[in-house]
Amino acid sequence: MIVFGFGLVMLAALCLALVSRRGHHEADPRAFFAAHGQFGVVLFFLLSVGETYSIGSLLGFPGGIAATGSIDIVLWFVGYILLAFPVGFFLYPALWRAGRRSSAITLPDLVGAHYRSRVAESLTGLVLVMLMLPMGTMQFVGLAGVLSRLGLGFSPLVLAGSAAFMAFLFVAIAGLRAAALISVLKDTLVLLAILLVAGLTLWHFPAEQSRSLAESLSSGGSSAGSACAMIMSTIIVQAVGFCVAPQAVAAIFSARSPAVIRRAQIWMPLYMALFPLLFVVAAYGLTHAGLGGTPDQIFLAVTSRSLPGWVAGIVYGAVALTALVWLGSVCLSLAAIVTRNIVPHVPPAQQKRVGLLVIATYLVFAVVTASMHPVLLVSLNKLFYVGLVQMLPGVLACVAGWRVAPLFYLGGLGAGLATGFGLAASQASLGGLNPSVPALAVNALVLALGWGFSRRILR
Amino acid sequence: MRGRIKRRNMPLIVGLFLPFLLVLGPVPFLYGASWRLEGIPVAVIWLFICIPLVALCLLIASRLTDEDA
Repeated sequence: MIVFGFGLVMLAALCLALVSRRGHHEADPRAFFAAHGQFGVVLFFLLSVGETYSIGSLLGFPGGIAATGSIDIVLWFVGYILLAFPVGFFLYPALWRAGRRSSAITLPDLVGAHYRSRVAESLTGLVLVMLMLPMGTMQFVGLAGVLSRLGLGFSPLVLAGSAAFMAFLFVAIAGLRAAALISVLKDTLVLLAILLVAGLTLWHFPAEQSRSLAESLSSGGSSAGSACAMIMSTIIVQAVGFCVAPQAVAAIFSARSPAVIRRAQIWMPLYMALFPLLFVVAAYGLTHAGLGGTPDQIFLAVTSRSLPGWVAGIVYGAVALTALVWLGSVCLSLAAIVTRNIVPHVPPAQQKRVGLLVIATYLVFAVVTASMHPVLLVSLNKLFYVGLVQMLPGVLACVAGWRVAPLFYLGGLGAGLATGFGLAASQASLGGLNPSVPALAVNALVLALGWGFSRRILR
Repeated sequence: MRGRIKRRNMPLIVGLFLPFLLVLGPVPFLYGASWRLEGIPVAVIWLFICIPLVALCLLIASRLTDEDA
């Protein structure tokens, strides 16, 4: 029965992908990869808000709380997604205009046009592709947990391979348009699933409670100062980093106008209204012994304990779709980056074919790496943002129209990445400060030096 | 002149600075607070209250932006 419910969701998603293709046979790779300037408020909203309920939120958020028994994750995780919407409200329309000026559909397009440098364009593309690799791994770590609960008896690698094939099929059928339409199904099912699972959790909460929530969930302590510094700096850094992720930028360029973006951004915070219910699921996991599985599987464990087989199958299908839709939109933006910005001179007629090859390679890499290292989903999330946010100073210079020599842009980016990852790897305490903050300061300083230098030369 | 500059900055103040202030401002005071509701720390409760408040800030900011446009 579980497989029946799961299969039903996958079939419905496949039908939606086919429907989204009708009337849009995309020969133009710009339309296929980025739905360039086609989306109104509703499709833009669905595409860009999809990140809110990713597999990181559904499994990683309750899993992180359960693994640490601390409120720190609740505060920085909810805080950064929530504050990304106000940042996007102001940054996205400016990015859209900058992109329109240079006919960009990817972030490296914009960088290349602004700094007038093919090297800056290619290296930015390369950095983004490298950064997105662990995020693909993260989706398959989550997917492995879901698929193992179907009881199909196949090896985890075969199951993950099938999921990768589904993600590939979705994007190969209709590109970004399919990802946006499948988001409708995914979001409806995910919201219903959270309501259902959390509702049942609340119903059963007092029964079999092994310890109280006050005992299980810590807040403050001897190092409250450094914890606050960590929470606040992580929220700020990741809220701005969220807005320069390749899939976020692809969504911006798919919008019809800046007004469309602004109107959609207003309602996005309300989309997070179900996070308190995800917290309830985590609280249940913390206070009830014997759920089994890793911390990241709490949502799934509560689902299988409290719901009949076919309904649990539908919930698993919804969770799997969150990963597949995310993979679809990320794969498309990466394919666009590789074919337009990294591999030189791919003719437009070949871009779609090369792009699909890139997507297949990315998916295979993610499946293989996910099968190798068991990691906590939220740890991957944090590491990804340490690198991603280093794009910000260079992008802000593009938006503001500041002329800086490409050497300084690349110097700032390189110094920022080296500082951020160096500090993260050394696990230096920094009084709790997120390693991205000093790294951003170094990056911005190099860029500002370049700006001052360029102004002096131009004068 | 000063009034005009202020009015131009209002969307930024309401739509960007106010949400950051609402979410981040109370963290140092509420993080270690012992007060809990049904075992849930007050810092978490405040953050969840901020979800509709941030949407309200953006709604007001968009109205102010439209006026300026």
